[in-house]
Amino acid sequence: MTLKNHFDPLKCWTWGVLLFLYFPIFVLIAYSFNDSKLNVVWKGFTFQWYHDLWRHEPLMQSARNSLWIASVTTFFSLILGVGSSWFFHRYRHPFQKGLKKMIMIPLALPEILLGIGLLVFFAAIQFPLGFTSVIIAHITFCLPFVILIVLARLSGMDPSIEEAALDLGATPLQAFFRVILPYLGPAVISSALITFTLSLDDFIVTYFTTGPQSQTLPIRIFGMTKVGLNPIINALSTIFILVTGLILIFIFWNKGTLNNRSDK
Amino acid sequence: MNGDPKEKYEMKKSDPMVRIQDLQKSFGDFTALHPLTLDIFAGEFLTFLGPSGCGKTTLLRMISGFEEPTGGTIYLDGVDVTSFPPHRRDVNQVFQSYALFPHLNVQENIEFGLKMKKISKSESKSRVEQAIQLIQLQGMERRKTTELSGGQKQRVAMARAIVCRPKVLLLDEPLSALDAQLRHQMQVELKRIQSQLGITFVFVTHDQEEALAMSDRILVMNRGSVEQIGTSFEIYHQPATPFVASFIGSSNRMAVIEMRSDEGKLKVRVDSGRWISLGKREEPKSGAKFILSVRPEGIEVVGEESKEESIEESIEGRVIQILFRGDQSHLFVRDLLGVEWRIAQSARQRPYRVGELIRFTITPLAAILIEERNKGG
Ligand SMILES: Nc1ncnc2c1ncn2[C@@H]1O[C@H](COP(=O)(O)OP(=O)(O)OP(=O)(O)O)[C@@H](O)[C@H]1O
Ligand SMILES: [Mg+2]
Repeated sequence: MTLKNHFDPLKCWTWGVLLFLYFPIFVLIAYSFNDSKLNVVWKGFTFQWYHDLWRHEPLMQSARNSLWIASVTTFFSLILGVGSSWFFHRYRHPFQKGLKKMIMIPLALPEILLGIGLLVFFAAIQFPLGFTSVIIAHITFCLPFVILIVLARLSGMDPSIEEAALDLGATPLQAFFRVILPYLGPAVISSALITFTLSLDDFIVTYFTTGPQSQTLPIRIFGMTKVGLNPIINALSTIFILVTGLILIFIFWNKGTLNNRSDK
Repeated sequence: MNGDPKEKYEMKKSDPMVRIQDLQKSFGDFTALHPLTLDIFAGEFLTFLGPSGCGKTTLLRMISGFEEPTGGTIYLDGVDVTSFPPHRRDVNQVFQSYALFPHLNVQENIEFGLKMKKISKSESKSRVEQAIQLIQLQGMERRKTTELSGGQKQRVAMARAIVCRPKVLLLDEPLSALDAQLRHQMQVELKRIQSQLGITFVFVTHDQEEALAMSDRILVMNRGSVEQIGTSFEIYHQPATPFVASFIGSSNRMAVIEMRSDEGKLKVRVDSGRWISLGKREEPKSGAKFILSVRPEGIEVVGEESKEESIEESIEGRVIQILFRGDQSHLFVRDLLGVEWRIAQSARQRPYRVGELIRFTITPLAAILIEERNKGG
């Protein structure tokens, strides 16, 4: 094929799309090293904003909040998600189909509705807004992802694997922890990473369900930008992008091995 | 297990390893297994044979505990295990899909059952080594199970079950995923392992050749009920029902419409109108309907040189097709009444050609009368 030097419209199109997607991000990253308080002109290279960020106590506090909330959310989403996926997969019951669909509805629901719904719910039962309410809220929108991923992995599983374990003398509980859970390993890692990123990045639902003590990073950043754009935020965003990007790369890599390993 | 055969038989008689009593299973209003009573003896190789959907797997899974019977009792070595969950029964199963644990390597797979049973480290080590030797998997201990061929997976699945020293080993079509050559090889291997270990084997297959080759006894099933139970020889040469005669091997079957006993010699008239003499034998009780069944080997082509008397009994027909099978050929012959016969011819005999006219006789002892059971459906 001698297409190499030809003008290839498909190629240009692809590059155009990529540029459109990534240009704002590149600008942001670049300005995080810009030695100017204004985001307009390039004055020189500096690590100043990263240094300032480290010293900015409110931001660091919300970063810690975010990490804590994301960790707890991940932990509980996994336990609930893996458990209920196993339940859906393993036991036949009359509401199976309906229930499975119902669990997926939050995926399609506009986030703002979910946020308002949760706020109304918490108000109705007079639940104080704070870490717990945010974590509960995050679990509600992370759970469907976990279930989706774990169910997909389960559907490719040979059902006699569990029977083989029982047959060899494992109790149902042992069979689950020694055979099913290891089999689900890649799916559990994927869902953990996705849950963690979703929780870390969430703004809307958090906005409705958080209290003054449990401000997450996105909420804090939003609050700061109302006052004016600060280059510290560029630096913070760059770190955020880096972390999320790494996690995503890992998910894709993990998914690759997941497919390779999936048995016939 | 290599004792005096008579002694072994006595022991068998007294205490079956598995006793199945009036066992039945329904799924909703569909009956997968009609009440079945069966003794499985220690050390025997018993095969459940039958067409797809006849209930073989269902019966096997009730023994292993994965399927709950609708009625009846299962005793394992004298203990009523009907209500025991699978992990509390001293039986192990080899699954058709092998069901190896993908996250464990070969050795860890084999060790799994011993870990669950909390067998000591040293004991477990020696048992695993023994099993690997027996199953000829030396050098593969660290392999991932996904890197094994079908035959190797099969071996690991076997090893994983036998290290547990089950009272009964249940095998559900363990060879059906293998190609023909490997399958024959594994059949021999399975027999060797079984005689070496002396474990009771319950084997499921829908392949009659496999069943005949491997089993001590065969349970022939059809539509959820038992057609016959007996040794391979009995099943082949004395089928108890028309179904068994048709399912096992090939046979020429004709409905009997009339019988006559003549100086102790029995003659029957079959649906084509022809009289066939069956030699000296007693006339079966009248009133029942019978089918005459003759294996292809029970028919002999008579040469031009044969004596007058056999000519008198012989049938003339034209060869319409020849099926070459290596050790023998099957001739399809249409006689003058339009009836088709299947005749086996050993490889040493003179080959016939399609279109040739031949004469053949039925060896009287090879012809069997099978009573037709009046069953619904
Ligand atoms: N869980 C179930 N629910 C309803 N019907 C079932 C169930 N399991 C089996 N059956 C039915 O019971 C009958 C016997 O099934 P079984 O699996 O025992 O057949 P089989 O002899 O093992 O056949 P094959 O050779 O195809 O494996 C079949 O008609 C099947 O459709
Ligand atoms: Mg089956």
